[in-house]
Amino acid sequence: MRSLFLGIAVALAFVVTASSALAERVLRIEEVPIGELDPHKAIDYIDSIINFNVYDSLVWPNPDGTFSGLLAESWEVSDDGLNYTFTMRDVNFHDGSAVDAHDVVYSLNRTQAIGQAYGYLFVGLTATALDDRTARITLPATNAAFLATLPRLSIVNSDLARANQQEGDFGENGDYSAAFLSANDAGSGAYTVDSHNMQELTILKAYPDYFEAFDPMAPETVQIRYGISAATMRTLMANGELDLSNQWHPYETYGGLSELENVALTTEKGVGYVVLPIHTQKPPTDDVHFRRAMVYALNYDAFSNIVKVTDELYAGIPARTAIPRAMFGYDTDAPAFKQDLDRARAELAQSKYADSLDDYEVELAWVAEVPIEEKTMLQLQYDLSQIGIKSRITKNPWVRFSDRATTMETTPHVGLLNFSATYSDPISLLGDYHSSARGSYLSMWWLDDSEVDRLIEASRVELDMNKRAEVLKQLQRRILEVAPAIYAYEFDAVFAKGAHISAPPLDDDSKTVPVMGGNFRFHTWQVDDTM
Amino acid sequence: MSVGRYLLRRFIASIIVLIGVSIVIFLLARLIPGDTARIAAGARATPEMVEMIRARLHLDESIPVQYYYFIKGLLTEGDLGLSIYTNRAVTTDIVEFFPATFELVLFSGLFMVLIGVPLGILSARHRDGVTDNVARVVALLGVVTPTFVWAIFLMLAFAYALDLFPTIGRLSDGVAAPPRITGMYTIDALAAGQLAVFADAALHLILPAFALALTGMGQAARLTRTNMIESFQRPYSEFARAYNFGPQEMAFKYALKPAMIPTLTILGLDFSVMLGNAFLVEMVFGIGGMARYGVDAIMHKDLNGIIGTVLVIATFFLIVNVIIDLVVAYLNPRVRLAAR
Repeated sequence: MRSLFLGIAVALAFVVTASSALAERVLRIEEVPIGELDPHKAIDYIDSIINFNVYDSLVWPNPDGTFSGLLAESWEVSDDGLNYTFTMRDVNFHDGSAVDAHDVVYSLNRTQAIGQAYGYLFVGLTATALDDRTARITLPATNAAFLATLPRLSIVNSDLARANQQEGDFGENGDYSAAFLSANDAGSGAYTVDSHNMQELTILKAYPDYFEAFDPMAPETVQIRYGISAATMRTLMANGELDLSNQWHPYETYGGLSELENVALTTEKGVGYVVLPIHTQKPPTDDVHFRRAMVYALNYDAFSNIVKVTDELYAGIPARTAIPRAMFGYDTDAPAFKQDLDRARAELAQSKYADSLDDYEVELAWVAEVPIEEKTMLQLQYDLSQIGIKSRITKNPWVRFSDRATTMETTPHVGLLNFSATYSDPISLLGDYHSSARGSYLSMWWLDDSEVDRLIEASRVELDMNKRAEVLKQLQRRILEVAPAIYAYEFDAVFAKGAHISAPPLDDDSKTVPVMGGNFRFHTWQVDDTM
Repeated sequence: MSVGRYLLRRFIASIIVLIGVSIVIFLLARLIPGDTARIAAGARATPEMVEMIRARLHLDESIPVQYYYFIKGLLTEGDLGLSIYTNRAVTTDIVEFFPATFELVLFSGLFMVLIGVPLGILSARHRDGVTDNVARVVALLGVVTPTFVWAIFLMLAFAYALDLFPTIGRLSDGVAAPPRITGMYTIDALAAGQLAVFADAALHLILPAFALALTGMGQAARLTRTNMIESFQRPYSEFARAYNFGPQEMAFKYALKPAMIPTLTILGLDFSVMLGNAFLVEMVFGIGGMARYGVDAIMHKDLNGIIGTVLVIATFFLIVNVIIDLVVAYLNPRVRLAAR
């Protein structure tokens, strides 16, 4: 028995020394589970973060709206905008094999066949390998946003994937290596996957032969922990055991953390906004004057209390239009939304329901998993009561909320959603206003406006940037005119980070790209171990 | 009845129970709002993409046909279907996540028995004294305080303030997991002779396991105390006292054994229930276990994930019940004699 205790004591000593043996630069972040490793099933924030570090796409967006080649050294676009011919850069995958045009073909076919996540962006496209170094992607129709969608097409090592495919539903492609790619790395990105437990911990290691330069102080190891509570996160940050929080904790938590010496707050600006979709087909919100009345009734200034993190930091700014400010085509001439009760009453007086307000009750639905939304709905309920509109607030679990949005009859009058740009083109958000997009929680307005449809279609095919900007401006104005939503505020994602961490795309607005997860390419970050 | 025949009967009964559970949960899961194929495809998926996934998951078939595919996959390939939450086989998920939860529950069970029962004995032996009162308060606190409150408190007190234990995870940074045999780091480390890894894994388990065990510990203490006091008042105890048996012998030979029977039954139930209730503790301590997976499967209407998790918990429940019954039969001669 004594020798057992002695053995345990010795073992504990090893534990202590093992813990202090790490000398490399390690970045420890936490996020919401799960972390999806398969690049063609990656859909959420953390999936995107992993995807953009382990895999590369053909091009990458710049903060100014232009694009730089990533796996593509250069590209040419045909005059009709239907053919994009990419010359591949001479780089290797993590296993040392060369990236070539055949991998592009395989990756496009794979994402189309699997049909999940962002596969919808590539429906109808065909890819051809003209030779090993030249890939051509042919579009079924001109799409001005095509380059912006390409970060969502991760290029997979097709040889490695094929060598590990199992039986499945995809004919000669078996399972398209779904089992393999959910647990293994077949990428060329700045980091390789060292270990992966999608519910607990993923460890990434710097890929030494990456073709882009690493910042000299970039992390060599990235640890991604999943699903820890706010209390745990706060404890870890205070202890110096965590370097970056996720953005989904209550603002009070970030406010408390900001008082610690070793913690700073940073934000990701201009990528998302909080919108309250209004059902345009269900009485009484099917009347445009009624909807405009709701838009003018809301006290937008009150949201500064809701989004206050500290006296110096607010997690949002008043919205002006239907897209956030980092997006190309943002209407800078649009004034910020402000409450105007007189105007609200004037609009309501023009509504066909003006004399029968007591007969209707507007449902304000919020998502149970996001407690802050209740505050927004309470504010709206109060503001609507000021102009005589009756309302009731309902709390809906996400599964139920998203399910209700699939039919016109069950969609509530008003919902609340946080939208983030999934790719760096405004159509990623404005496209949801098209009448063909109805039937999901992303288009709860059930809008059917021919002018909005026309402008969306025009913006999709206009390849001239200046003309496109003008079309987008007209589109935003038309959307505001038909009032399918209340744009509560543009939200800035708040993160708590260690004071020794520098994340340029988060710390410097001029380096932010409007892509969900796109500002987390860790080889551009810095971990200052001397602090 | 021999033990072998008893086990065979229980095994057959368990299969019937599991079939019943699978049918019930198969139907209940489909009552959760949401279109599973749409959820799997994504909100912007085209109708064609949604229908493709619906067909792939057999969701376009009637419920009996869907159940047939499920049972066929389970019996012929041990396949519990595809999880739309993790995008991989549910079997893979369970193999990966179950050991973490089972290890946590195992340690919790040990705490429950090794601390809860002695606390109850102490309480009973020193009835109405200071020791008894303190023990009763401790037990009551364990029962009335929610597990997640204990989890956060223990983390703040012992990991943050006192820095005695790690805050989260199953192993320290830089400590590699042992070669996998069971997936439980403590067991696998011992099997591989990696004492340092065993110690590290055990250290990471102490706080979460203690938090999870506190409710059961309190129950065990209170039950043991109550039943021992009752045993002390029985005629056989009076008889033993008359023959001047010492307090030690009175407690352990005459009072504890009969008191353990109801206590063990409740402990067995607590042990099984912990498997599903561990998710908040897993969340606080950053453990990627099956309890969290099950909750997330429900939140994402992951039909196969829900069924797989419930079947695992149900199986675990049945096994623990059989073990408890065997232990009770060993402790209680009347049960053995009645069985003959």
